[in-house]
Amino acid sequence: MKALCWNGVNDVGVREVPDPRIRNSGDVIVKVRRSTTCGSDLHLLGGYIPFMRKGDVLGHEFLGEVVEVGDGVRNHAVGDRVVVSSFVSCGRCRYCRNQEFSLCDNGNTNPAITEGMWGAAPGGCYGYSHAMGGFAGSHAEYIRVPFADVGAFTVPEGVSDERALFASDAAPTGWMGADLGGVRPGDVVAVWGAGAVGQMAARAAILLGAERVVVIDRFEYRLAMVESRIGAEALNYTSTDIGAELLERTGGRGPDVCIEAVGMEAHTPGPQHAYDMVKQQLRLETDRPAAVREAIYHCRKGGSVFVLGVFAGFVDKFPLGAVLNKGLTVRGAQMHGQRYIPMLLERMSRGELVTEHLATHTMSLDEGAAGYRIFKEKKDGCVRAVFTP
Amino acid sequence: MRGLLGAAAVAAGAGAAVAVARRRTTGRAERMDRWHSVTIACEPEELGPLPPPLDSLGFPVEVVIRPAPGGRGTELAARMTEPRGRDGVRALRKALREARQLVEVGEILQPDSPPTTERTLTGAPLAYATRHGKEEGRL
Ligand SMILES: NC(=O)c1ccc[n+]([C@@H]2O[C@H](COP(=O)([O-])OP(=O)(O)OC[C@H]3O[C@@H](n4cnc5c(N)ncnc54)[C@H](O)[C@@H]3O)[C@@H](O)[C@H]2O)c1
Ligand SMILES: [Zn+2]
Ligand SMILES: [Zn+2]
Repeated sequence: MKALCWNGVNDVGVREVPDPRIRNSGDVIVKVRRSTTCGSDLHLLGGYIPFMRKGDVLGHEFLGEVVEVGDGVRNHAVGDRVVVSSFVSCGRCRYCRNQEFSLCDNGNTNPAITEGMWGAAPGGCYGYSHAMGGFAGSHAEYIRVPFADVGAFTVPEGVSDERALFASDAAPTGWMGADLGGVRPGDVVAVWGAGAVGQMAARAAILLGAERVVVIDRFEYRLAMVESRIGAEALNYTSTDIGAELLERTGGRGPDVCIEAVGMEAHTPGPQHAYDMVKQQLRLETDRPAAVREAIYHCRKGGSVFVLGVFAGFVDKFPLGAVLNKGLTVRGAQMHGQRYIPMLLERMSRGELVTEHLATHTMSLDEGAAGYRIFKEKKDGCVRAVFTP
Repeated sequence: MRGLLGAAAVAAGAGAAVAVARRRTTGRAERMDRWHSVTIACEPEELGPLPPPLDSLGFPVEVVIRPAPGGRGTELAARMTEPRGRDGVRALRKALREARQLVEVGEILQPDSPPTTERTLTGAPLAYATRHGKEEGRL
């Protein structure tokens, strides 16, 4: 079959690879209808997560049709239209039972790598390097889905492919940031990053009853979307003083919940950016945490900061003083998709959660390299390039 | 010191995979008679005295099964009773992970096959690390 593969740092291309096979009784094979690029992939492409091999299939957010089922599968049959959580989780371990699906004990076939790096291993993720289990990704004609009864969800009839696709990862990620960040009615919430994840976090905060939601980025086309499609306020950090704006909008308190949806390749105006770029390139710091620093700095006393952006290793100039002296709660997680997807699909069917505007570019797998280029460079109004294998 | 080495290793690229996967030993020699444990989401009664595949390691191990505190499931701990070196530790760690998975899931999660990857020189250390992906780490 055809698949879009990682060939080396900043080098992706379509290759002919073997078709996936059922390997466990709980597996299904899905014929991919839609598979989207994600900000997380950019960290892989750039070589910031150095556990890729030539020929690894990219992609972890997808929707398709079940074409083969393992003999232990109960909830799915051939022909089901399913959206699949990007994390591979067993549904049976202690973490899965606690609804912390991305922490699954049994979803990663190579737990030693991340145990060494982080002290313990999270679950597996499709198309996200051998550190996360080495599962082939979804930018392909077919994909194997282990634990399909746990991770694949039948899409309700009234929800289009275009909308349901984002229930795979971007929407549950954003929802988790607002939910586990503790958003409550009356809160003012600030979100750093107006990509698909930041937009979904902002929408979740609104639906959870936040009084005001403010999204911060530098790309006007994304900020315009935040206002028109998400219904949140937008701030451009290159043209306004974010600190002053946030204080003005919160009666001098600062946001109650700050959600970081940027990740390890954050951009900053000013000398901090050069510092982080140089340190990252010399590998003295693996990740650039500018938006995390900002979120911590601007958060109100006693508030909560949720890190959704992906970080792989170590950061510099972490404002621990602010965390301690302002009594903050700082939390992060990879998304617990299985916990939220059924609820999100329902909200999608009721029209409360609209996502199709995120797919600014729909293209074939053959155009994959170009898709990643415009997505990475934020060209041509791109929020997400979506492939239709 | 090992922590710093770990940090540098993460950054140094694929060649680091093996080093990263290797168990941290805080500079002291790894003790071959140390207990290795997993906590399983089950009641102690659901485990036999020597849960598989610990029964087919090919060397004797001592096993302790006890309830984890606060309803956290069941702790399964094992250690070698005769010196088997690093290979013994690796086999033991893998068997413990699989024992947990067999109880919780009923079967061992298999990697995708046939693989889509190409053998390359630069990919070799990572291929090595994934071949031993359950044997190192921190159990
Ligand atoms: N936790 C999870 O499970 C999970 C799941 C999916 C994605 N992610 C992560 O979420 C992050 C965002 O993903 P995405 O797909 O929306 O990516 P994206 O690249 O489309 O969006 C990132 C946005 O952040 C903005 N940005 C950069 N620096 C900034 C700064 N200093 N302040 C404010 N905004 C800044 C960029 O302009 C861009 O619009 C990535 O790090 C991705 O890896 C995490
Ligand atoms: Zn993603
Ligand atoms: Zn699990």
